[in-house]
Amino acid sequence: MSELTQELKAKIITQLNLEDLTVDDLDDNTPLFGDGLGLDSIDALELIVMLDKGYGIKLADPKEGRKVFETIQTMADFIEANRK
Amino acid sequence: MTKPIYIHGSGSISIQPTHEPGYRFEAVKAYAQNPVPACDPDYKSLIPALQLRRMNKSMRMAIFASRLALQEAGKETVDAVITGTGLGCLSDSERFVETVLANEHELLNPTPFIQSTHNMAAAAIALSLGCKGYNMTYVNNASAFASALLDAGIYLAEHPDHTVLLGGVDELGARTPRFWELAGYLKHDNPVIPTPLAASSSPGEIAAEGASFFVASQQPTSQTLGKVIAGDTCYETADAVAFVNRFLRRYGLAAGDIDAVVLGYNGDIRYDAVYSTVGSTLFAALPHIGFKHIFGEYDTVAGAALHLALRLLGQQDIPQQLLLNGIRPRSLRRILIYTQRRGTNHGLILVEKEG
Repeated sequence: MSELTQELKAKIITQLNLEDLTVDDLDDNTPLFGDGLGLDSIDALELIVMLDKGYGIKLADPKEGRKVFETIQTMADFIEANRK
Repeated sequence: MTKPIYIHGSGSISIQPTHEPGYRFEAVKAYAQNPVPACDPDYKSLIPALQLRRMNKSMRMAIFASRLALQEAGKETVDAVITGTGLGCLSDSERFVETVLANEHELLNPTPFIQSTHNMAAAAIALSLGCKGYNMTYVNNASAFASALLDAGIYLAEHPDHTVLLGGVDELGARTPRFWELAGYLKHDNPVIPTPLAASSSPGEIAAEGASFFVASQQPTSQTLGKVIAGDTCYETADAVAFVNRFLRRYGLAAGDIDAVVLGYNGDIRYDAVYSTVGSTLFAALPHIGFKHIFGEYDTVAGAALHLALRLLGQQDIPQQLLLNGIRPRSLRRILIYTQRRGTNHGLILVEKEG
């Protein structure tokens, strides 16, 4: 799981152009949206594309995204449970 | 243009360090490559990191240059944003099209799609300033900046108490210069900046990029850098001298009423004769000032020419590197800018010192 969270952090930094951040700056449980990392709705779309492209997981229900994208850890848990 | 528009602040990013405070065009940065990317300022000094991370180079350059203009004018915001761009946000357009092809029309990332449109720079500026007023982008190639300028004149005539942010921006992109290469636009023989003009004997231009923005209104202030009193565009003409002559007559001017003429020589032997004909026929006794030999060529480089003209009006001197014919001005009150690209999109801007 730790390997997956590290991989996710690296992908998020690259995909979302978080130029000032390194993998070490991201905590597994920091909220990705709101007061945490401060991501927005366009980032949420980028994360949906990332899940599909990188892990073959389609997020059909947008409401599901709110929980899945809460933190790096919740994303990793969701990927572990659903990846093909 | 029915009334002059007064420019109170000017900001520019180009392949020269024009973004540096107090830059006077005396030390010109040299390059031996084609195309030439713009000098990157410390974007983070004026743009919040969270906004910056999603911006392509057009947007970064446009927002930074507009911030410089606003700072110089002492303004926080404006009533309208009017921009020109020849080719828009090229890098995101390229990324979007490449993703469409690579992913067979599925799984498209939203950011390059959203930011592939030409009006993205004007939109990003308005968002960053909280400006909900008139927002317009002109996209007619090398006339885009002059068209934006003319529209700013019309807008301010209708809204005399408003302030406008006016500008032009174009970026190189990663793949598009290869298409220019195939089309025969780029110079191969001695592609250097400053481009030697007198000894130029090769076809092609040096492609570059940049953004120049201006804060304008119809009221002069103590900080006014200059006023644009006239402008005109013409897509094609068989007689550039007649085009310039008509413009001068329309504003009741003779060549002797102008102190210097800025000409868009870029070292392309196929089209530079247009400038030498206009220069020798109409303005033989005036100083000829070059700008594309230090800025390179892009659709909205006329914005950089206006930035240069305003700075020259301020410093009342023409640096040696810019003076093409060795004639020194008696004074610098009125400067005419004439530019065209590849024989089309002719544009004129007449700028005058205020006060």
